[in-house]
Amino acid sequence: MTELGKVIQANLVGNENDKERDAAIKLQDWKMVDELAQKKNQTG
Amino acid sequence: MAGVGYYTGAITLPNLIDKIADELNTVASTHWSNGDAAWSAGKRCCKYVNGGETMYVALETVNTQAALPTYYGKGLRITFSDAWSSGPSGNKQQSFIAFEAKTATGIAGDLTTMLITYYLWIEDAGFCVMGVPESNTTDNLQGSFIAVAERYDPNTKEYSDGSGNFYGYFRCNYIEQNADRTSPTYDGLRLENVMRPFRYIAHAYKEYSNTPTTTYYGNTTNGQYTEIHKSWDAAYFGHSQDPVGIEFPKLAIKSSGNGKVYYCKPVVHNSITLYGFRHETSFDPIALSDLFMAWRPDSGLVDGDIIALPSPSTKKYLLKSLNSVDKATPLYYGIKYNA
Repeated sequence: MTELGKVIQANLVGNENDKERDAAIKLQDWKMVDELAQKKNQTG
Repeated sequence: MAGVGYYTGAITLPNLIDKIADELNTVASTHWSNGDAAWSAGKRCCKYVNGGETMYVALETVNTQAALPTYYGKGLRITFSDAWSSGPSGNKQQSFIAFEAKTATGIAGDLTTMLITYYLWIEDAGFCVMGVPESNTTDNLQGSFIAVAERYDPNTKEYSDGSGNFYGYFRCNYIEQNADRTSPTYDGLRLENVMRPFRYIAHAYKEYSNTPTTTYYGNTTNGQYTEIHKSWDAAYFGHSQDPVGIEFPKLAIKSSGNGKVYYCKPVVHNSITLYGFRHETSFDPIALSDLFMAWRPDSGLVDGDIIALPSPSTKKYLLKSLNSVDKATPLYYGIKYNA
């Protein structure tokens, strides 16, 4: 029995960009923080 | 090097090719190896051997400006072949992702120095990479891209077909030109969206319209990327520009009811049916993709989201939305993030 045709239910467990944002904040790289925020807005 | 895993960073295309080949070679299964030591400095031969099964996946930097049917391009060439003789030989399929392109001659981007921000998954089954080239103001057709070379487990095939177990999927969010397939001038310079070695190659609109000798085709006629359909649209009756040979039955969405994510794995077909202007051209499912999937942004999923399959699976996927400086239509794909 294959999974063909099966709808998979997955869980949303985080966002990679949030990790990048946290790292950028730590480095006080505000340009990067702005860019990440913009990117998120583009697709949200 | 760690072999199986997720990698990201910004490196040149020759270095990215090395990264893919070197990580594949580090996977513990030892199915992958260097197929040709002479293929170095911007090109690599990734050889897969498993029992009696052999596949060569050649990755090449095309840093010489190639004349496409209407534009000019540099980029990544991927070749599947079942033999090797100083280069791909025997049965062969090629796709060329011209992510560094320009409407006229004089491409400024030097692929040996310009950086690509990449997102890469490596495992025994192959690789999936998404990338965005460093922008420059001269090359006005720069595109983001995805390249997938995946071997599916033969035990998961829908039926025993006697064919190999690989497929490839290649997209560029700007130029996807595919020249007349009878013209040797364009050999190695056509973007094929789907390759199922060695059964068929397929370009989205070209196969849909069944015009293999037409010089180029895309969503209009100039070979530009069009998003895969999100729904049955009355204006377009679905998906005339959708990839042929691979199906995305349900793009991932986030439920407004419970916040969970729902999707179907991409379905790879073993053949395509060409009648000309058909809305369905694939009737021969053979296996599902595991290295990547597709999603849609209008339900609340965003770039960077990580989704996890239910336990006991440990698989995760990273959803990326990649556009480029010259083209605002993003590629919406998820690549594997955890095995």
